[in-house]
Amino acid sequence: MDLALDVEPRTVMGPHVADLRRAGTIPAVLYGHRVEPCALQMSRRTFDRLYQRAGRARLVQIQVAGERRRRPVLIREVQVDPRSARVLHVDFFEVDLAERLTVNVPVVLTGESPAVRLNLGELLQVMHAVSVTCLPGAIPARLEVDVSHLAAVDDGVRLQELGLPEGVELLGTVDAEELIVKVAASRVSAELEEEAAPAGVPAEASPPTA
Amino acid sequence: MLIPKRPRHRKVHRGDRRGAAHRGSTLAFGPYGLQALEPCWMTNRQIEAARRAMTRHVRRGGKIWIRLFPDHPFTKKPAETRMGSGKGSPEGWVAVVLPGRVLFEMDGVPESTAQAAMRLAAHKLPIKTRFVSRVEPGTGAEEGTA
Repeated sequence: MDLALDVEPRTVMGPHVADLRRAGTIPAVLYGHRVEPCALQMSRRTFDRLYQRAGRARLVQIQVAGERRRRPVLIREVQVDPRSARVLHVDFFEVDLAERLTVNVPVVLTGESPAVRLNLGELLQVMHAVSVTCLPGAIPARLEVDVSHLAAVDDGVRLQELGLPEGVELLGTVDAEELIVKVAASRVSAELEEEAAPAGVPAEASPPTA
Repeated sequence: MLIPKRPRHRKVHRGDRRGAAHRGSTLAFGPYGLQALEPCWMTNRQIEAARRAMTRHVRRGGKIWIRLFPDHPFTKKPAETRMGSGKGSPEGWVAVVLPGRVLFEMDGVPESTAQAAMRLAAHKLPIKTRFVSRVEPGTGAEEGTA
């Protein structure tokens, strides 16, 4: 099912957008290939709800107030305030449904690794998103990586082993040998051994000398 | 304890702690983290104490990342000294922390364990912090705070 979002054209620009944010509105911009960029605004609550469902790899149909047609867009960039974790600004990328594009698709692990179950090691997910090229209509919402065959330490899944849906290709610049997830050896805490041993001279950091 | 291998200068200016951390403010390695909510100078002893608290709680397993490094030397004048006569002598090392900075990250443990370990670590730190966790939006839930 397509996700939809109602937005309004924005006339407030520059530092004055702080007033918009105080009023519960998020400033946004829409751009795309051969698309005239336009400044937009929308309700924070509506966007937050939509973003949770859509993420950055799902098409959203945007209805700009005063326009007839809906625009298919991807949420390309979400600026977040590092202090409050609130959304400050959003970039929408209008897509041409007949033109291939590059998009980052989240990687999700499925299954349970026997190595983890037997306490041999821990799963270490090195890559959380993969850059792929495809038509906008074929963007996978997520790429699932099955880890149920990872039975020993240092077993891993590489990009080349990723089963991509039809019409979806890895970005050319991405190294297919790159690791997505691996089983790392269990950490035997050095401190626990250290604490068990009789206390020696505590390690003191010397003040800076040059 | 964390300390620079080869300091370039023995004494540096104090600098300022205005604004928020933009770099290093998102989770980069693990699914759980501890985020600073206030600015401070965090000493290498505090970082080490927090790391030990976390490691001890997690015991076996899990992976911990320390996302800050105490590369800023601070100086102190001796007690009962009159003002003037130059800058004091180097005393230790601190990391300059701004609000929003992710201090530690953790992987390989259940969320409840990570949360408990981070709570113990937070008690060793001089500032307010919050526990953050990552789940990609669009795949189930949103990156959030707890």
